[in-house]
Amino acid sequence: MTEADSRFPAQPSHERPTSARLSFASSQLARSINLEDYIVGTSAQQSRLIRYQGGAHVGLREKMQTAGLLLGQQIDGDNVYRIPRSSRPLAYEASIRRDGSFSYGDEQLAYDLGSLLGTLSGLGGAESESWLVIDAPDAQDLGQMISIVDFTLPEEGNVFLIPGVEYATTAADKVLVPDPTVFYTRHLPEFFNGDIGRVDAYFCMGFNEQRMGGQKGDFA
Amino acid sequence: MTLHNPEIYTEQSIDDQRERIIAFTELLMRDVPVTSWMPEIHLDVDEPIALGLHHALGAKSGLILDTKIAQTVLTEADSVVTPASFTPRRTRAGHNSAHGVFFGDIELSNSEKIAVAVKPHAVEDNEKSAFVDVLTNYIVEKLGFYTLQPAGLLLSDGNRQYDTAYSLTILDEVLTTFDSINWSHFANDLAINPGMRELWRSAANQTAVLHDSGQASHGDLAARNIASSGDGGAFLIDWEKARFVGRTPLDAESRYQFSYPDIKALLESMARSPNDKFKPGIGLLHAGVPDWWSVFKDVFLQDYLTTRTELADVGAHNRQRREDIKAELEVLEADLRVDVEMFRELAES
Repeated sequence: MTEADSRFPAQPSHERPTSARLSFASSQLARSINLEDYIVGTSAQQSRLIRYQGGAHVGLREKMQTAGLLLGQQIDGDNVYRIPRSSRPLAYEASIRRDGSFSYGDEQLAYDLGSLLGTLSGLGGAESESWLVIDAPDAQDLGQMISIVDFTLPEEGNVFLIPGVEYATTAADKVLVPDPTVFYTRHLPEFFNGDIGRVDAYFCMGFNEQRMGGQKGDFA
Repeated sequence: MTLHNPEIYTEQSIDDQRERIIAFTELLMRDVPVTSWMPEIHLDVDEPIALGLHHALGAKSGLILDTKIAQTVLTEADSVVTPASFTPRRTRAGHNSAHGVFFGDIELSNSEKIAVAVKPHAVEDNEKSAFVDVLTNYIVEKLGFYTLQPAGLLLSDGNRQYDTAYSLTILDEVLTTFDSINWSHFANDLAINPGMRELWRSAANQTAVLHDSGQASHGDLAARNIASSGDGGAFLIDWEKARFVGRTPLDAESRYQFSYPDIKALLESMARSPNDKFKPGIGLLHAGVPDWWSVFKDVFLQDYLTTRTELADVGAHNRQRREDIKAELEVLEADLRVDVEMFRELAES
């Protein structure tokens, strides 16, 4: 992660910070890259944007974008993204049991989370000898880098990595993690009210399907 | 990227949510007329909901849109507009809803779309229940509180095959209810997230303003009925059990009858676990919290009492009112302290 740069332009006054419940701006990563999460526009037509100080790890970011892992759409320059208004960090999420076809319960969330991080793990490509993981100091910080998008239509995804996460992505062997599923499942209890037994199998299923499927060749 | 594992969705043999959505869509698609409506609300009468109901019941059937919304989706060029489709949205919201609320987009025959939250009223007097729900939102709005924006109703035309009425509000994607947040770490470190602390302060202020008149109560002030908006404020939703009276409170006791049930309901939802099958709460107060009373005061009650006292002082010329509120708040605090102890013992048992 890079250090904060005081020369980075401050948020103009017509922009309003997103509420604490939804904002991605309070993690250690966010502070280190001056990530801002804010709302612009009138009440009738509002947009929510993420802006951060970038420039490095562009290649990795492009791979993440191509794989559909990143939240929102890049606009207006390198480091500004328009993100869904309902997106919020996994970090504060209460445990929710599915109660029907259109409820997005913990089991599906854990599966999608596994798929997301499983896909990320293989983005190092064939030239990489190690898997990629998100290096977070604790579960809360990891949960701040992962977004849930709510109220989605059937063809839309619900779980994404936030723009800027390329700064916290590293090779697993650099953080002494032999198996990324073990690395992540250490943090999972934090996200599901401590009831890990209910969802860890779904996480591993999602993770391994991506590892064995879409990115299989990269790990040969 | 859409990631789905179909195996996950085969656990539940009866999908009540899907059944509710199918029933709603069937009624919506019966070529029901789309009309508009704005209720008559009078706050100066003794029972504003009853009066509003008197004017509303039996007036219309079909898809009845709030006049302001109708103005945006129905134009003069549209001769006859009917609903064309309903597309459900997938969400983590509404899981604690007793009504079985669901969310989606209504598309009209003129291609206009309205994103709505749909609350089914599958009770004997379903039409009345749906109207009460919508009317309370209009009353709350007229009282100056921000809440869910009414979108309208979907009523059958008396056909017994369709024995559910539906109240609709505009779907606000940014809105999240307090029961969507994992509060289990919060009580042991209130400074963990100052923004979250601010949400509770905002909820306390809203509740204090509501109770200040001694003429209104929410009626179901569980944490699931407190929502946060995109810009950080908190507000109350689901007012269908609310009480509004036109008469001025006689004394401290009549004021207490509006304030105490609301705050006790909120305390109970803080104290119950999210896994409680009888009445799920948010688990903010749990076995790992050493001093429940201090946390409850810090998180909510002190801000509530302070705002109530400040508001009472605004009417300083009315000495009786000020003394009544002081007496009300003293009894309220003492009784809540007993309740905190009771809920703590229940949690430990």
